[in-house]
Amino acid sequence: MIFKRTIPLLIVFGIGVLAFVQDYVPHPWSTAFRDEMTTWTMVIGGFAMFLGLYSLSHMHVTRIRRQMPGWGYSIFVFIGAIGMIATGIFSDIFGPLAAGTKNEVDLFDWGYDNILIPCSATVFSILAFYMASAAFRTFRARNLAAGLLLAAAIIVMFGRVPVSEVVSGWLFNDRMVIPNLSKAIMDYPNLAAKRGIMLGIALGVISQSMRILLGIERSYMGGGDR
Amino acid sequence: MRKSHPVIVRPLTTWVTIALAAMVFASASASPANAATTAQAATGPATTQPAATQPALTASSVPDPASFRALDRPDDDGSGILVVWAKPAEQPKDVKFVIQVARSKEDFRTGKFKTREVSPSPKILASTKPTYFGYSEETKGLYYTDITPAKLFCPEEPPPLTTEKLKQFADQNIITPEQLARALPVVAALEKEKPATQPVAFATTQPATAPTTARATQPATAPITRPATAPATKPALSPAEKAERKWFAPLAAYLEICLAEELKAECAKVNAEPYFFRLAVKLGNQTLYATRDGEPVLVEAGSRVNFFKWGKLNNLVLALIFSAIVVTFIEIAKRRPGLFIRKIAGLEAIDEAIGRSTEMDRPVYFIHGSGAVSDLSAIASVNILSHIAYRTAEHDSRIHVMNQEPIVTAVSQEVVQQAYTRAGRPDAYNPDDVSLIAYEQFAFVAAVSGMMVRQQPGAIFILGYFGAESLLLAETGSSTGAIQVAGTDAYTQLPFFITTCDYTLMGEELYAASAYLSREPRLLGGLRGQDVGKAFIMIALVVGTILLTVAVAKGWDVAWLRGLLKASNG
Repeated sequence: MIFKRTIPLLIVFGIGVLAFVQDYVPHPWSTAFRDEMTTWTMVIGGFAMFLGLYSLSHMHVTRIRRQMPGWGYSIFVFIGAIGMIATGIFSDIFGPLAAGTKNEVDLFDWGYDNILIPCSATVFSILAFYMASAAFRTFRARNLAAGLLLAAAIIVMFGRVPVSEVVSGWLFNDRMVIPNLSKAIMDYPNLAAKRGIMLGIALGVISQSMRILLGIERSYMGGGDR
Repeated sequence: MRKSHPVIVRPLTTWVTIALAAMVFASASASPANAATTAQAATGPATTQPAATQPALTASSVPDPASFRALDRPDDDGSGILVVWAKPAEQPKDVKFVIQVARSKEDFRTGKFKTREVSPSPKILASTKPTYFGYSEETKGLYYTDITPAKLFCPEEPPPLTTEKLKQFADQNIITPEQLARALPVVAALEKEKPATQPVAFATTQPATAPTTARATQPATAPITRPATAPATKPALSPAEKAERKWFAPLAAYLEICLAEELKAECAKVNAEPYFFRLAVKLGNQTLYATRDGEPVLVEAGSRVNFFKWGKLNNLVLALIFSAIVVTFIEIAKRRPGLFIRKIAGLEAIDEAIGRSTEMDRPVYFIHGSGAVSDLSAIASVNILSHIAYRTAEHDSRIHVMNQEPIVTAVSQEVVQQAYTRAGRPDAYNPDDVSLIAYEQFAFVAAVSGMMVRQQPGAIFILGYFGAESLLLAETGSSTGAIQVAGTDAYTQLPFFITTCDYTLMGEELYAASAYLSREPRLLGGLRGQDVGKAFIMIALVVGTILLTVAVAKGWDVAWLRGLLKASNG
């Protein structure tokens, strides 16, 4: 129990308090401590990457072996991973796939620029359609609150496009009523709500940190709620 | 692959480059700063004449010499000096303040000083930095600038790795004589290959001809920078030379770190020295110094290492007060269990969602955010996962935990395994159910969305810190008909979750979840402390607003109160 609970909790408490103090002390020793901790985090992260890689490989190997639904996609995981690892290794400056002249890009960079980035952009672009469908569902005026939300959304969306200035000028004798109203909604009610949430988050962080530092909250150690 | 330029273009580009270089050289020679510095070095401080089209600088454009002072920046590690001066009576358009910095008075005469130019704007008013200058009315009439001597007197980049430097490293026992003997020919060859304007650089920017350790020191996504002056082709290297360069690459990377450390130590020394400052105003080619008895006013200051960021004192006091409140309520809860805690609908729905999943014989999905394990939102999610995994094991249902971060994956595996053990079903735990899905944001989205569509989960929990993936995941989940409970402290993503999920834990509710679900008295005490802290802030905001409103109406000076109510980041 001492190795599984007490020592980890003491480490959490000690490092947690030091990290808290570090934030208020500008002395170079304090900065050196922060840099040292950052280095440790990176080293641990590096080792954890191997664990992650093992976890990923194990899951997909099992899928392929048992021919679970969608197992074919798992083959692409290995094709992509092995392909990028191999090109990464062999695109080393002395490797056979290294860039030859200053205008050439090695195969690793080429794969990153021409496969990964376009694929990511494709997934990201779907967001536009999802926004439209989510907005359609949300902006149905079923009650007073939903009606107010709809009205505010229309004003904000319309007030943020250039044509609103033309319409405002035409309707309100050259006064920018709609853009200003849109700005006012964003600057006052929206900002107030946002700050309210942020204040709550700050308090939640303090409370959670105290529970972890004092060893009351230990679920993250795998021991359950108590 | 990019195409090379046609031959016919090359002479043209050469001429354009020469013309541009000539223009840059001419403008640099004729720049006001250089002109002033040159004049200064040659003749000492003097008033220069205005150009025909410029308004003349007058004495009222020069700040009061008595107001000019330099002082240690109070909350740093000994790297900064604040220079302060009063707003002059007149500020012609385009006027600039010039602060000259030298190591000694003599350096001003010999021209060995550095210059910092500052344009007047509300941003440089001392009143914008109450952490340095307080809340007095006087600060509204003062300008300031922050000077880091190392930025003026130290080179920006460490020196290149040369054969001389290698020998120095050997003298300092950083490398062995054997390493030196092997490295010398490589560095000598690289020095010969480098273009005239480029230093030999191994780890960061580097000619295409030189060996590199860029892969070791750069993130995988960063493009490799190649200088424009690099030769177009690689020189032919023999296999032995290639092998030597390959051997040298990691050593070079290490030595470059040593060079950077040396520079850092040198910069710290430079910052620790005392400095002299002079102030002038500049308009076009006219320069007027702040003078006393006909001589430019000189002030002296040095930077000190500080032990406390006084600008964050209010932050520390509030953090300690809230911590004390939380600890007090934890103690109260230990003695008096059964504290009333307000209902959180999203957390009440967890059991319902898992139950429905079990009835439908569908898996439960738990999707972690992109936060690392050091982020509190990730820890909070893991705490909730512990409870959900326990309930899932009890219901004999199946849980899939999707991760974007390797350490969170490892922690989640441990947590889920322990939860299954606590529920008395260790055999039901499958390590493949808690897996790293992808490290890349959109690859993760694509994989999880595909799994959702194929496996049709009955309940989806999306908890942690999310970016653009929030709506993509939640909308796909919504299309499968699953009950969705989301929670995040990323307030920009909250509207998406509220729109698409059945229940949403907003901000602090995510942190409260673990205590709420476990019902453990001490954790609930912490939760109550959090609510009391919130009440304290609400009261402070209302009272502060009333006080400020009354103060404005009565004309009281409450700059300190306004400053106190402002969040300070030091």
